[in-house]
Amino acid sequence: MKPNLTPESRSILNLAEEQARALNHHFVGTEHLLLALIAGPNSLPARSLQSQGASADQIRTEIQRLVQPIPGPSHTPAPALTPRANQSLQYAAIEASLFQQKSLSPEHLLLGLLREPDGVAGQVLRNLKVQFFPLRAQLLKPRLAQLTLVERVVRPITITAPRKRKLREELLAHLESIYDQEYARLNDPDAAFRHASQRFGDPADLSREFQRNVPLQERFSYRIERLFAWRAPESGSRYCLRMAVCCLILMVPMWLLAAMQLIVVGWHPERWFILRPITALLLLLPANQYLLGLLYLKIRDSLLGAFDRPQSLPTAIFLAALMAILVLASLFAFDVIAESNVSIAIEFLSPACAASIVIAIFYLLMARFRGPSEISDTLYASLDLTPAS
Amino acid sequence: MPPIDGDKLRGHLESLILATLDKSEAHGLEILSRLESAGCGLLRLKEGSLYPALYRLESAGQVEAVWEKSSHGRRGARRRIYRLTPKGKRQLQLNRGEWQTFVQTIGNILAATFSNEVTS
Repeated sequence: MKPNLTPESRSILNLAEEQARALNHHFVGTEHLLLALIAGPNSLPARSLQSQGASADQIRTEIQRLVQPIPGPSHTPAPALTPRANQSLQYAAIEASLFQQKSLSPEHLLLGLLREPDGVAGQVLRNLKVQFFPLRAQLLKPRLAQLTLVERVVRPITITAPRKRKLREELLAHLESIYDQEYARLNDPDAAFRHASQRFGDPADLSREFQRNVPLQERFSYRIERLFAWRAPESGSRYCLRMAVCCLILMVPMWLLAAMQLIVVGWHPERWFILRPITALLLLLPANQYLLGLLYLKIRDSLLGAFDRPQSLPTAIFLAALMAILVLASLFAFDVIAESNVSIAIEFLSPACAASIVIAIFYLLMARFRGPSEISDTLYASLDLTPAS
Repeated sequence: MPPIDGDKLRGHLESLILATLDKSEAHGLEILSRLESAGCGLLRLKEGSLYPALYRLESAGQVEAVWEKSSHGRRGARRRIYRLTPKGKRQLQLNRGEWQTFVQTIGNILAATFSNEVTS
């Protein structure tokens, strides 16, 4: 997938090509991208690196120490990106999508270079003790401020997640536009944001105004959704555990109901088999809920490279295979407990196999298509809204 | 002349939005700039408060909205494009009529007191 670049990033890429040619290299590697990013002394990447303790000169010296120019006549017409440079662009794209941005700006390119584990640029930056999280916080501060302002408006409103997504995107688009207008006028990120947020209005007032429009049934759906949705800042495993407990709480009354019915019609050891399927469900469903939930989160994050997990399709597929095996084992266990007959369970093995593969593929597709909006919801829910004053 | 702020606009904002959309469809920022240029800079509105009004009009069926095809320019979020529905067009006609009666009635009274003061 070719990432979508802003005009600034495209000129960085061109500049990186020039850097490569100047060193007579046949390729554009991460080091050339880094040189291009710090070429303008007043660029945001250069200034941020400087404030993280890595000056442009230090970076250049460090790169010169690691890479030598190739002597001889220059002959490369158009050097191509190395696989690592490409990988760093993929990481840049992940950083952009995490912050709801569809095209890559130079800030994202720099973060991509630092996240790529093996490239020269990452090595240079790590040698100069540049740390990822403080750098990200600094580079994406204006963006984070925009997202936070939008979330201040949207979070208190009692509407369901799909409506919140719609409202967030529309408000964000507006805020982006007026921020860009103010930035073009003032050429200072902090002042531009101050003016834009003044134009935008007080978030608490806006929240109240939106809240007045929310119909009663929407408020009710919101409460139900809150019960089963992830709540910041609980961890993924805690969330899965909570869902498993919910599942158990729902299963126990069903089991008791079935047992009572058995007592009402008259207890007899031979009638015990009636209780077997529901007992199997009671034992297996909550455990499955927990484990499948955990595996799903890991599949999603490896597939999309989210939450600083390395992006890896093979890992995602491996985890999905693990999930299929788990489902198969559970279906087999269900048959054994429900039928108390291993041979019947073995007979059902092939449809069970098909079912587990279908379930694993279903979860993979869900991670691919629903994952991005889940991750964006998580990002918004994790934003700290306490005023910095 | 003092600017007209959000409080004085309350109750009229919806009519104003309908009127700006009468010409052609528009997204939020465009609606605001149309309001601004028509109001000669005297309308002072917190820009965010346009959206609750738009959502009210949308749920009343007077405007409808679609997401724009691609995100504009360099950033990520898409805007929504609003346009009048037939119901919104009828409402706009109604509001225009009501406003004319209102202005005429109030205007007559205010003008009468004003000319009395001048002559006395």
